[in-house]
Amino acid sequence: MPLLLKNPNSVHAALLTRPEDVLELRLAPGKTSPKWSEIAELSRGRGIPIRTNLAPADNRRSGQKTERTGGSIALVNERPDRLVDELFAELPETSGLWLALEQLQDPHNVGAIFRTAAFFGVRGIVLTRDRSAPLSATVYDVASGGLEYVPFAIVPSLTRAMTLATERNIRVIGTSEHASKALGAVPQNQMTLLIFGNEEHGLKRTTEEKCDELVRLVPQGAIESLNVSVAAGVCMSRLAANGSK
Amino acid sequence: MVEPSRRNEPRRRLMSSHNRCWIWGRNVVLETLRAGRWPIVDLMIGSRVAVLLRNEVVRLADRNSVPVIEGTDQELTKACRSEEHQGFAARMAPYPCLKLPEFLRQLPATPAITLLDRLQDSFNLGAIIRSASSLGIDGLIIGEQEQSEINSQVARSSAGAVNHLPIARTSSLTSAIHEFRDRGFQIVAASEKATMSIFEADLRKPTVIVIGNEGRGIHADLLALCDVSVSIPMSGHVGSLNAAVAAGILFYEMRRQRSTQAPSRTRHKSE
Repeated sequence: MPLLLKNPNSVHAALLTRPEDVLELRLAPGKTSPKWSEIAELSRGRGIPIRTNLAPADNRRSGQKTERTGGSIALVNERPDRLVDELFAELPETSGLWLALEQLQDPHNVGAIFRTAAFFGVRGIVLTRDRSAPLSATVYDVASGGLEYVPFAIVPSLTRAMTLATERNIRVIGTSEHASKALGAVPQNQMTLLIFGNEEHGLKRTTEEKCDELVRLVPQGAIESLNVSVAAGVCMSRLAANGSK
Repeated sequence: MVEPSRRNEPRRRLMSSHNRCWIWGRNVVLETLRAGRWPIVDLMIGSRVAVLLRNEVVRLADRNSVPVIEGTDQELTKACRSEEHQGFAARMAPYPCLKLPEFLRQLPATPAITLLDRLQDSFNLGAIIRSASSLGIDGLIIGEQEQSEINSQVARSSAGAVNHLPIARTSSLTSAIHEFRDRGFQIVAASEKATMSIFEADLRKPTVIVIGNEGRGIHADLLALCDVSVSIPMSGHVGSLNAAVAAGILFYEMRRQRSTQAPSRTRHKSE
């Protein structure tokens, strides 16, 4: 099933990286935003069908829940996932960052993490299949193009990814509120697989046990912990290749 | 549903329209009740809520003169318009933002403040409040124009942190910035276009970090009042950061600098 994407940034990224998967453009009646006009221009050049004669109520009738009612949309195929081995096949010469998400359930969190991962040049994201948010149109739209630039694998459990990382001398760091080591104390500029757990329960105990190290971000405070997408952003900014000194 | 009686009490103003003035969910409602900062008009508790918890709620509500109504799950769902209430829903008065003078009076030494310029997305605002509270930011300033209210969604996405972080609202962000400048604060603009990286900036001084609107960034009038602009260095090839994620990274860096390299500051007793 193709996805109905509403965020022009996610459509634009798909058009640039895999135009063959952009099936159709549906432009809303009335004035088109500059971003959508640019997308229409690109699509025309690629021979992608563009529909403009839509009734304003089109979205409502199709039963799609839309934030921008009657806005422009594009029909885009899902991006194929990779094998977890492929994500670790080509190793960078110096430092590199990979992420693993264990049972993240909020599509907004998953999308936001992809967006941030693209910004920080993350090499790949491993996602668990069960009890996890599927990569829906919401995830693509929140990622604002991030899903097109970061390769990902969908796996039954993180065991294999962690073993592969270890075999390739990539350190495995789990994030946990109960860890005693602070993120700031982790050496930068090394190859790292960073693991984030479920919004409510954190990492599985078996996953925690297999990590080389566990780190926490927040020592104390009235609120237990950060939102996972913010926590992931902080970790990425700290551990990405050109991070802080 | 029977309206609770409010003897000798004038009718209270609500946070928003009749339908949108509810907060719900066990954690958010309990946190709000315990903190006692945000006035609750009345509170509904589900008949399935465990006795111990119910007793605590009734005791806290009594102390704050908040009427408690017991209801079935369906009645709570009907009131707050969500099925995710977990047996807790509260009808809220408007959020009590501080005035700038009160806000200034309660600041600690060497404060770290953030000022939001027209943040429109309630999810982002809530997430920023949560991060600010967790990462030791001393307070938040918002304006009145084109600014998301502290509403039900903000309360939820802040995970209850609206009850702990000092939040001030002002009709003029420019005069607020002047006020901080006069008090010796450095004003730091977070801008994608800045050439200086946040890791190069000195965030240990009394600092106001200014974060701009999701689409348009910081207004030129405010930007002109900032001492320095900083950006989060991109190490990938594409993209931009969400406002809440960017704010979290800025707050973390501010905190990190303050906790790891503070040679001039005297050591706090508890450290």
